[in-house]
Amino acid sequence: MADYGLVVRNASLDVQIDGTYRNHSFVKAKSVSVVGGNNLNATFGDIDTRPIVTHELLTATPLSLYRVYKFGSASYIGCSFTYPFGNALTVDLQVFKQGVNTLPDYGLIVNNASGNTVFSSEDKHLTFLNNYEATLGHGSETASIDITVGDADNNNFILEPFVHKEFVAGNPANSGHQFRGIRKIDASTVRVVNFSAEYPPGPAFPSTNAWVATLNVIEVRKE
Amino acid sequence: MTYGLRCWNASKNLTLDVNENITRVRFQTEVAASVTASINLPDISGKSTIQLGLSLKGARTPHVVIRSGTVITWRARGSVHFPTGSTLVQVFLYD
Repeated sequence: MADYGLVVRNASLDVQIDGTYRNHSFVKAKSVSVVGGNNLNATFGDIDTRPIVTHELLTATPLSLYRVYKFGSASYIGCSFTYPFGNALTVDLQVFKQGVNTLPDYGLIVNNASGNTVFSSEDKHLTFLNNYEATLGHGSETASIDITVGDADNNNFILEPFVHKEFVAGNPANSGHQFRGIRKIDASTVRVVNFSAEYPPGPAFPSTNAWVATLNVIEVRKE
Repeated sequence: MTYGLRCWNASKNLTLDVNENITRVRFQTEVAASVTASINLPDISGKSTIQLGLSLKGARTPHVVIRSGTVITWRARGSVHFPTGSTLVQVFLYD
C-alpha cells in the first residue's frame, strides 16, 4: 500500500488502486481472417512489452493461440493461432499492453513514488471475470471437456497455458503435433479439446514434458 | 454509490467504476528458460488469483505457473518444435 496519495478500496477493503497499481491496458481490437489451412497469423503493430491477447470463441473450430512474436524486432508485432485443418475462418481478438496506454488531459491519473503514471481512468483495463479449470489428462487425440462459462457470446477468452505434444520425430512425412484448443458450444458452454494439426499423427513422441493436464479457461471482458 | 470512485470522460461516459473489482498485477517476474522456482505470497491468502506464463520469444513453450495455497511455482517445459523459453510470470488479483 502507498504511504501517501490516493488509495481506492472495494467493499471488502481490498486495495484496488494506489501507487503500486499495475495492469494491462487495451490497445486495439482486430478482426483477422484466413482462407483455409491450419494457421492464422494476426499482426497488431509494435508493442514494446509482452502483450496479452484475448479472443472470441468460434463454434466451427477450436483455436489454440500458440505464440506472440517479435521476428527480430524489439517490439511484439503479432500472434498466431492453429486449429484443425479446415476452411476459411475469421477471429476477433483484442490486444492489451502492460502499463498505461493513454495520458489524458482530464480524468484521473495515479502516479507512483517515482512520478511514473501507473493508472489512467481513460484507459480500458484488462478485466478478468472468471477462471475455470479444464482437466483432460493426456487423453486421446480428440478428447474434450465442456465447461460452463458466464457469457461465451459477449466475452473473450484465454486458454492457458499453451499445450503442445509432438508425434514421430525424424519422419516428416508422418510427423504431427497435438494441441489443445477451445471453441464455443453455446452462450454458456465452451469445449476444450485435443486436436491434431499438420500431418496425420503417428505414435506419441516419448517426451511429453510440454504437456499439462489441467488448463485454465479465463473469461475476459471484451472492450 | 456508498464507496469507491467513479470517473467520467469529456463525453460524460463512465470510464472508471471501482464498485467493480479491478484486475491488477500482484506479482511479476521474468524467468529464464529451463529454470523452475517458486515464491510465497502470503497476502494472496483467501483471494482469487490468475497466474499466467507468457512466452517472451514467440514459438517457445512458456513455463506453467501453478498456485498451491499462497505459493506460486513456475515450472519449465519444452518440446522439440517448441523448446523451453524465457517467460513472463504474472499473478493477477481479480476480486
